[in-house]
This record gives sequence, C-alpha cells and structure tokens, in this order.
Amino acid sequence: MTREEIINELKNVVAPYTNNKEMLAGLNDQTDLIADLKINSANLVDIIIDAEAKYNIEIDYDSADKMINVGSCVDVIYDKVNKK
Amino acid sequence: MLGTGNDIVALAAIDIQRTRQVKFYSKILSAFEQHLCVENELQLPLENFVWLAWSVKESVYKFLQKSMPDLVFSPTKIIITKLDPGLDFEGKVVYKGIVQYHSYTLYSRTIIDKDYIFSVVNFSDDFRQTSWGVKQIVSSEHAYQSSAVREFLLADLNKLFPGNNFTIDKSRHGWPFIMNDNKEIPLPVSLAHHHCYVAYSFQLK
Repeated sequence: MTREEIINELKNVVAPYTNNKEMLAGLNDQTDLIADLKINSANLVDIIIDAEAKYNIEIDYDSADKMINVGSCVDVIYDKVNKK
Repeated sequence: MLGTGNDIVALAAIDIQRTRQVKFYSKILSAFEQHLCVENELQLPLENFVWLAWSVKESVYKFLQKSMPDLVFSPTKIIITKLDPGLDFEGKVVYKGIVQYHSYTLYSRTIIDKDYIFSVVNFSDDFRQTSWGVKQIVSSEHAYQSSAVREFLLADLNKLFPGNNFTIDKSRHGWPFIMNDNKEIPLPVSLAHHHCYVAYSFQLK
C-alpha cells in the first residue's frame, strides 16, 4: 500500500469520531487528531482498534504513542502493512 | 508541585461491548491494573474500572503536561498502584488512587455517577484545597462543550472570588490558565468535556 492509499482509507477510519467534515476532507500529514479534528481523546483507542481491523495489523503500545497526527498514523500503518 | 488535572467520561457515550474486549482494555490498562481488575476487590463492572482508569490517567497526563510540554499520553505507562473506596469532597463516596508515572507519584479521587465518571489528581493525598465541578450540558457539539466548560468555571470562580475580572486563556501547548485583568494568576486549572458533560478542577494551594 502507498501512503496515499493509506491516508484515503484513514479518512473512513476516523470519520465516525469527528464532526469536522471540512477538516476531514482536507486531511493531510499535519492534521492533528485532537486539535484539528476535535476527536475526543477517549476515542483514540477506538481509532487504533479500528485501524488494526482495517489493515489487519497489530499496533503495539510504543507505536500507538506516536499516533498523534495523520502523518504519524500513516507512518505506523505503512510500516506495519509493508512488513507483513 | 502545585497543579491539577481532571477528566470526565460520559457513560452514555462509551461502547460497553467494545470496552469489555481484551484488545480494547489492554491498550489502556497496564498488566498490574489488569490484575487488579481480575481480582475485582472493588466489585466494579469491567467497563467502569476501565473508564475510571482512563479518566485517572488522562488527569495525570494533564497535570504533568504543564511541566513537560512534550509529554506523550501513553495510558499503559501511567499506572494505578492502589485503588480503594473511601469518602472525600465533603462526604462523597470516591475511589482513592495512588498513581505512578516513572518517578512521579500522584493521588487521585474518582466519583462514579450513574451518568459519568469524574477524576481529579493532585500531587498530595490531601484534596481539601482542590475545587471541582461537573455539569450536564445540552449539546455534545465540540465548540459548545468548549465554551460551556469555560463559562461554568468562570461562574464558579466569580462566586468564590467576587469582584474580579477573570478570563480563561490557552497556552500554546493547549492547557488553560486564568487571567485577572489580563494578567495570568497562579491558579492551576484543568478543563474536561465529553459528550453532554463538562468538568473543571482548580488547586488553591
């Protein structure tokens, strides 16, 4: 999978947890999940679990810690997907 | 270290079935906390234990972030080492916790209501100088939550310290602070919102 493919699919993963549809449409590496998409921190674990299911990967604690913005989420997913 | 951190979880907004899945709660609870949960001496439903732990950990993160702006929220690394039921906040039933994050030890108080779980943390086990409030609001829309929690805190501050001109500002790292006549005052505050609940805490001394 390319980074572009991952970022496009990631929009569907985070969509249920944000009402900021404008920011979601323009998702980029710098988009912060909490500050920009206004996702409640209590939903961050949901996003990690949903991403694990979507990409059939396991995201360990240290990787999950890095998933603060879209760019870091894509980095983690890209790394896990392409190591399978 | 003078500070405060709080968090609230609205129980109407949690997914109970998902919370009960190992793959979910193992991303929040440390191995020790999972052991505490299995022993279940507190006789809490699993979902309440998990979200109690979450709210304590989030509170600790908010407390420490003010002295460590680059701190990353890593729930499994903030460990509740002790949790007991007790009374505090003028006779309310609370869960009293001791929490460890690396070399830091903090103390927590958690209220489990039928509609929410609210936690506040302090560097001391004495919460007599900790003020807090929880309020239900009419909308879960983010901008409304944000303004409602600020209005709530300001209203209570003005009741406690009448005759001032308090406002709330936000640091570039994202935490709130109180201004009086446009000058920051040394009153640590913490704000939280989730779904239709908002909460604050502040530490007087």
